Amino acid sequence: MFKQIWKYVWLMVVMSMVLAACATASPAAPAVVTQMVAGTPVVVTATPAATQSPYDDNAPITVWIDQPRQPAIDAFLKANPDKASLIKAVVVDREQFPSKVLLFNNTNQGWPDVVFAEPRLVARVADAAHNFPLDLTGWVPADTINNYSAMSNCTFDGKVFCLRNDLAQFVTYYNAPLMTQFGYTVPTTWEDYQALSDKLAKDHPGYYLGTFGDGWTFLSFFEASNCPTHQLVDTSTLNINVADANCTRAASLVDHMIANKTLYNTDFFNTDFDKLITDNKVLMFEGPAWMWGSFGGTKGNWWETASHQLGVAAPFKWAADPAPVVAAMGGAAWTVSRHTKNPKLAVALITFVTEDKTLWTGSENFPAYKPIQPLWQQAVSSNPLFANDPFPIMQAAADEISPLDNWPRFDLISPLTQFAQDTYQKKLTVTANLPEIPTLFTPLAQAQGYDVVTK
Amino acid sequence: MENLSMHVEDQSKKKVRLSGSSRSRNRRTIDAYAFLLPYILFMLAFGLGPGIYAFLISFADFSSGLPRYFAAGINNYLTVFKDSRFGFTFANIGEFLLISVPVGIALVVLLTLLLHMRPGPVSSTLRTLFFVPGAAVGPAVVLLVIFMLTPNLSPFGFLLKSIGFKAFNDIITPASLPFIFLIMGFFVGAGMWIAIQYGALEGISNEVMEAATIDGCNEWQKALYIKLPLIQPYIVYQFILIFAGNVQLFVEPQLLGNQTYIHANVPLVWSPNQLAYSFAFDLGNFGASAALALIMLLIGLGASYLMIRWTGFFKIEN
Repeated sequence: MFKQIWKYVWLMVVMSMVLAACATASPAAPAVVTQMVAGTPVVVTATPAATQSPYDDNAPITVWIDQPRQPAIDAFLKANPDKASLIKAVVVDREQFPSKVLLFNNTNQGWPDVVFAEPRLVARVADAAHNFPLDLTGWVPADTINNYSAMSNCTFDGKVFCLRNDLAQFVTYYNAPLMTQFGYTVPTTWEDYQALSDKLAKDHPGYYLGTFGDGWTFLSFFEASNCPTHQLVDTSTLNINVADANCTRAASLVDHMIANKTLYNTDFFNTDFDKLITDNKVLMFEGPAWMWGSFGGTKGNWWETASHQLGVAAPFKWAADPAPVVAAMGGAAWTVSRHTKNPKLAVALITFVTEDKTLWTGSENFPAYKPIQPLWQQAVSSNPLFANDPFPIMQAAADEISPLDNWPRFDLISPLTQFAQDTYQKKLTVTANLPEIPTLFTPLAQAQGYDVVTK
Repeated sequence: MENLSMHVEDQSKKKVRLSGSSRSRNRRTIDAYAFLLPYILFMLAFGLGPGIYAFLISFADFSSGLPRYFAAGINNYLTVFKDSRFGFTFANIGEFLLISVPVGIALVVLLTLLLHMRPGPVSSTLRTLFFVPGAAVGPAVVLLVIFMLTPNLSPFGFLLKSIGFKAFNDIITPASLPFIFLIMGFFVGAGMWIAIQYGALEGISNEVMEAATIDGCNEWQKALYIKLPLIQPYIVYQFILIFAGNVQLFVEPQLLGNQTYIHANVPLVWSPNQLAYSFAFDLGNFGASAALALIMLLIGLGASYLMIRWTGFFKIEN
């Protein structure tokens, strides 16, 4: 009798295999040339043009945003009440965006139409396996595209895969009253910054000039030094060379300041570092353009500072370099799916949310769309938080964002955080531990199909 | 396997002879299947079905983003073996298993034997207390552990600081990870296993225990020479399930390695299951992911089979 049970089990196994084969094999063959439109397969050309038919101007679109983008969507709905029923905004964790696209590709349905994400995430959905973004050339007039700053991060092989929302160039934030009290001037070069650190360590121990403890803080020093830890030579070649003089100079700066205890050892958002700022123990640090929004206690009790306490200065440059190389932390964009049925509405939405005047006046994000920058300037320049007008500095820095802000198709922050923490845990100097970076990056790069070179 | 099915068959034949008429026999069979049905359905839907699907797509090619079935041959398996992270993740999980399985089993058995030596209100209260953390699931436990191991947040922060751990990152290092995961796993799972092993101890016949007492055994001798050998099958059972569970380690390293919220020195891909996840959701290669998942299944099955053969777990004694 026991054998009989096995017979039935075996039968079920065979049947489910047959069923599984039937169920899954059918969509496989035609998938390359067929699009499912409203439940019916429609054959499209194998290589879709910039625009992928058929279109339906009345089709609803799904928009993936984060919570802070909700007002932008609401403003669009208010301005276009006739489209209100067509737009479904969903708040998602956009770090999941690349993996979700893969799932949708497998089921051949379900893609969002518009996604709010950083260009680094757009880069990850632009490869053959994801094949997600729609080339916006033709959909958005060339003149309009030229009005956006930093579009190089959205341009892949000549295709425009996103529109920049805001820029996140690093600038120097400093505690203006404290600088006056100590009688210091704001440095302009990294060399002066290092010299100031020695002075501060000697005269006022216990005060800090920044922090180094995760991937972003790593980039604030190394990307700003043009250190090729992740330099895209072309779409399939990645240059990783930590022996480059640009890397070693940044490493010895960081080592010097860790040794004289003027650099803290966490990320920017660590509660301990936050408390040091609130306690007026942090004299200055390089932070992204949007970070001023966290000061002044505007978000809960974050980084409380008094009026006119926050000074903003140009990002540091290396004495040997002609101009500053500016790192960036985020700075998002809007991308449209090439699967969308209503690209007209999708494009109308993303141009509205990046260009609308009322929406951007008073925003803490630095707008990427140049024509609204003067309006934004009025709002920040009169903000009592600042000790000086931050706009000219931020605007100048926006044009100096490093080409290294073009990320390869893998996450840099996790391995770099690991690197920074590992350096501390092994009690090594950053200089001595630099060779760990290629060890961390190379397998990730190779898995993504990059040729890793050292030059 | 041949042997054990023969054994079971003998048993069933014996029962058939005893149970009389063929009508009642059929009735009993149908009842048995009716009781089994929900399990079989779920097993097909969530166990066997996905397994078969994984087997299918492990031969599919995903380079264009969509599966092309049977186009990859064994390439996905080769991709897995050639990946530079393969050795690293298996070394990690090997180290974790070497530590967690023996330590986990030894501690559970020891605690159970101790609890069973002096049955009473204290013992049963303790058993309940051990069981309570089992209510917390993987991700919640990770958060709990992060909280407990952050010296500035933890209620036991002073203890951590007194032994030289000033920050979270002093505690979480690549070398300490297997122990951290052991603590998490033991905290959650121990209570259930203590309950099971305690049940096994309760099942030991009183006559045997009385005989041991008359023969002059003290409590420790009873535990070591009488109880331990008698609950051996349950220990084997625990080995199989703990091994199968721990080899699948995923949530804990995945959450600890999440650099958006936790800035810790945890490799992005630490365990083989994370590598499988990375194949699927970082690289879009669901085929390689399925191949690795099947390799993990084979390892689990292999270890269980060896353990069963070695201990004669399924042997039915007459």
